[in-house]
This record gives sequence, structure tokens and C-alpha cells, in this order.
Amino acid sequence: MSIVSVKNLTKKFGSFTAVDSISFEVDKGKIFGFLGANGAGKTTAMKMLIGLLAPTSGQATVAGFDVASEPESIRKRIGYMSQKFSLYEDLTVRENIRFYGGIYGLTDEEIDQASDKIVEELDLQESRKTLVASLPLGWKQKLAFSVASVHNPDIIFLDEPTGGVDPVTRRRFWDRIYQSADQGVTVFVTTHYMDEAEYCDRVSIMVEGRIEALGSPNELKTEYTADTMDDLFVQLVRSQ
Amino acid sequence: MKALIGTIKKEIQHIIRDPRTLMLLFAMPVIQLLMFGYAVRNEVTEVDLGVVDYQNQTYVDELVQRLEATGYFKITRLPNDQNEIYDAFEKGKISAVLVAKDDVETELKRMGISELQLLLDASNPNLASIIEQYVRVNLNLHQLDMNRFQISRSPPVSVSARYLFNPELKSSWLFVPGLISVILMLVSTLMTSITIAREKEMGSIELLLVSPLQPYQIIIGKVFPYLVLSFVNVASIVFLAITVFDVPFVGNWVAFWGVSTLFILLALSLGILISGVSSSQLTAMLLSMVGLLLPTIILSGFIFPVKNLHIILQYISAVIPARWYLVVIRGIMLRGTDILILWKEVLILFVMTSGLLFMSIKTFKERLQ
Repeated sequence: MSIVSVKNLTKKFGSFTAVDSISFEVDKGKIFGFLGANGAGKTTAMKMLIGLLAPTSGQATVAGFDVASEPESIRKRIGYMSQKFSLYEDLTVRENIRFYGGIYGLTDEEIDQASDKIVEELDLQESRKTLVASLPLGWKQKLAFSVASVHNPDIIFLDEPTGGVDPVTRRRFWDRIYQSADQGVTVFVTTHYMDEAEYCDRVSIMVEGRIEALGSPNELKTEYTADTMDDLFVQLVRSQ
Repeated sequence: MKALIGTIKKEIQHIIRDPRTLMLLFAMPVIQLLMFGYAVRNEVTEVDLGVVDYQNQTYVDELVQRLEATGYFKITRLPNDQNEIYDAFEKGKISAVLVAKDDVETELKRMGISELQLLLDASNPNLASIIEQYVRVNLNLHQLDMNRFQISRSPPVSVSARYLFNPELKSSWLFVPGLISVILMLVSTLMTSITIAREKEMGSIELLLVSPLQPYQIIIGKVFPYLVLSFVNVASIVFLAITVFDVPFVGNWVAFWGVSTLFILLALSLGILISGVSSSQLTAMLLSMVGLLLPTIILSGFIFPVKNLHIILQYISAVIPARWYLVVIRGIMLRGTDILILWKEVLILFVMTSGLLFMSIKTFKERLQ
């Protein structure tokens, strides 16, 4: 069963076509990698799915609701972690959790439970009352992921979540993603790290606004006779 | 509702976590009030007046004594020497010199008229003309006193002036209402535009927009703490003005708070509008400072009367909200004017507020596309 269904989705800014008639499906409970170079249109496409940008043409549904006509219903069911910003640095760990829980309509009790759970999972007992600004980047990203899923969304959108962290921390972050997927949460993740593509159940590769390849990492590697996703990607970009 | 309270709480935490801004917000009204109340004055005191009267004539002596008795003048006797007079001017020892001819008294006795010369340092034209007026007024009073004993000489018509609403012509009385509008522009417009621009700059606005929060909830959540701060600031300025500077409050408090609330809403909408068109905190700050604060100080009638402005600036001042707000609160505070008489100004403010509120919410929504 697909939780995201996109058909001929297009976004134009003036005469520039950022997203050019893309179509794909994302299955429930899977990790979907949305790959592409910087500027390929990944973020623009994702913003249309989460209701930050209106599509120029084409259709898309998320969790069964149309992005153009039912964005309100989508909002309650998705989580989002942006590339630029994750948490308020001048608020404490607990205050951040409380704030996000609050805007998603959780009760005080639910917030307290969620907050205890997150603090325990991330081993943050010592620093629950410290400002987020003083946490190391790796912790911040894991915390941001937990906060983005505090309201138990059906699907969680991650926009370049591992930008600027070392490989070990990245690996740990992906462990966290697997954990969520095991619990049935769909994960939609954009990245330009091709090694991360290997961790996904299915990937799409965007080049200049179009989806050039779509399938599981193994299928794609066979199809393009590439050893790694990295090779595959270089092959796709060169052929343009 | 709970989500809304959450956003308000979060905004308050932002404000509290930034003690420098917090201090600025509370200290600024006080500092500005003290500055304008004590330092910036239109009235002139302690004018250094030089007197040249080689003959020590009684008439001149009496006039000088009268001037000295007003408390506005400090008298220095100068020799009748052009060079020394100019020297005193150049060194800034004196602002004006009263020069009496040797035969003032003789002329008065013989012909009934005579002349005195007043030299003024007009490098500050305002000051010079104020000093001239002071001297003239005192000369006239002196003349009237002299003539009391010679009924035939008294002028047929004389003007006796009474300064209503501000009998002592204290400029702080004039500044306080103006200061309220400047502070409101600072706190409401500047701070609101910066706080929203900050969320844009950090990218956190995206998370808010992706969440189930409605745009109005985001706006109210951001703006509400500053609304409260604005009220606190207005209250503290009025309190200080009344207790420290003896500024009277003769009008209706309800009318005052009503129209102030309207003006605060206007300033907040302006702040949202500015944040809508600026993508960084710096742009928002510059836009608020240059685009709003300066015009509010210069064109609103805060310091310079609108009628004295160049005709083009007078037209521009019509779109400065503070200009209309000032007319209303000066009327209420100092003259006790009924708000109904000022309906035109209140209506203008109301139209401006509704227009800005509408525009600000519209731009805020359009940004999503």
C-alpha cells in the first residue's frame, strides 16, 4: 500500500522548471531515498509534498490526502525535519519537545510521556534542562528526529538530515531511522550522500528536475551495471 | 487554543533567554524619557547676556535687574569695546549683548523715545530668536511699569498672554506623548519584525508552517508577548511622566488606552508586514529603523510641528500613523479633549490599522507559495 503517490508533479518558477513532471510511489513503512545532486529539485519536490509549496501542475497524495486541496489533513499526519533548522537553540531539550508536542495538539500527559521516552532513548537524562545550543551536532540531529516524530506521524520527511556530520554519527542517525521504520513509520529522506542510498529500501535519483532512476538500490545497480550507488549516480549525471 | 498558548509560551522563553534585549525593552522607555525630559529642552535658561552701558544709566540698570530677576539670564558687564565683545562671542562666553547708547536716558526724557541695541549669536537661530523674544517681553513689561505713573503715556491696547494647558511651557509635556509613539514603534514594530524575520532566517518558520498551526496562530503567538510588553511600556512612560515630570493627565483614561491599543495593533501589523518582505533580521531592523523610526521622530510632530514642515513633507507626514496618534493623545492628556471631537484622527488610525492588518496577514500567507 502506498502512502505517497505522485503523478506528473511539476513546479515552475517563472520560466525555470525546478521539478519536471515526476511520478513515483512510496510504500508504507519503507525507507524511501530521494537522491540527487544539490539543485536537482529534491527540496522543491519535497516542499510540495509537505504543503510548503503549491504545485504548478500534476497530482500528489500523502497519507491518502491531496496536497493541493487537503493540506490541513496532511499536516497532522506528517513529521518534518528541515535541512536548515531543527530545534530552537535557546530552548532546553524539554522545552523543545513540549513546544512541538503542543503545536501538534498532544495533551500534557502525552507530552510528558513522549518527553521521558525521548530523553531515555537518547540518554539525555543529564542534559534535559540544558539549552539545545550546548548539545553536540550529532545529538541535536537525533533529538530533532525524535522531536519531528513526537506526534507519531504516519510518514516523516527528512531533508538532508545528516549534512555536516561525521560518518560514525551518520551511521548512528541511520540506526535511529531503522528503528522508526521497524515501528511502521514511513521515512522519506533526501540526501546527496550516495552511501546513504544503500540504506534505503527504494530510491529515486533526480537529475535536473526529472527522476532518472527509480527502484531498490540492488535493482538499480544491476540495471546500470554499477558497483556502488556512487558509480550509478556519476553514470546518470554524465549521460545528461 | 492549547497550541496557541504553546507558541506564546515559546516566544516568552525566547525573550527571557535573551537578557540583553529584555533589558533594552524595559530600560529604553525610561532612558528615553529621562533623556527627553531632562536633556532635550526647547525652553532657554541661563542665557549669558552681556551688557554694555558705559554711563551706568538708571533706566538700563533697572531693565537689567528685571532681566536678571527672571532667572533666565546671567548678566556680564562688558566694556564698550567692539573687539572685546566679539571676543566674548567667539569664545562662547555670551549668547547676546545688550548695548545702550550713552544718551538713552536723556533721549527718553527729552523726546519720549530711545533705542537699545541687541546683538545675538545666531549660529543657533532658534536660540537667538528665543532670547530676542525674552528681552522684548521684559522690555515691554519694564515700559508698562514705568508708564504706570504717567497715565497718558500707556499704550491704548496691550496684549496679556496666558498659556493654557501648559502654563510653564515645559517641553517635557510635549515630548511625553511623542515618546510613547516612538517607543511603541520600537517595541511593537521593530521587535515583532525582528522576531519573525529570525524564524525565517533560521528556517524554523518552515516547521511552523508544516505543522497544523494556522497562520493566524503563528502570528498571534509571535505578537502577543510584544503586545503585553507594549502595554507595560506605555504604562511605565505615563507613570514616570506624571510622577517625575509632573505632566498632567486631564483626559479620559479609557479613551487613552483605547486609542493606544489601536496604535499598538497598528504598530504590530506593520512589524508583521515588514517581516513579510524581509528575509533576514538585519533587513527587518534596517527597514524598521530607517523606514519608520526616523519618519516617526521627524515627521510626526513629535519635535517639529507638522505645520512648520515643507509642504511636501506635510503630505508625507499624513501617512505617518504616529502623527494622528499624537494629535489624539496630546489632546486627551494635556487638554482633556473628548475623544468624540477627535473622531477624524481616530478614524484615520482605524482605517490604517485595518488596512495594515489585512495586508500583513495576506503577505504572510502568500509567502507560502
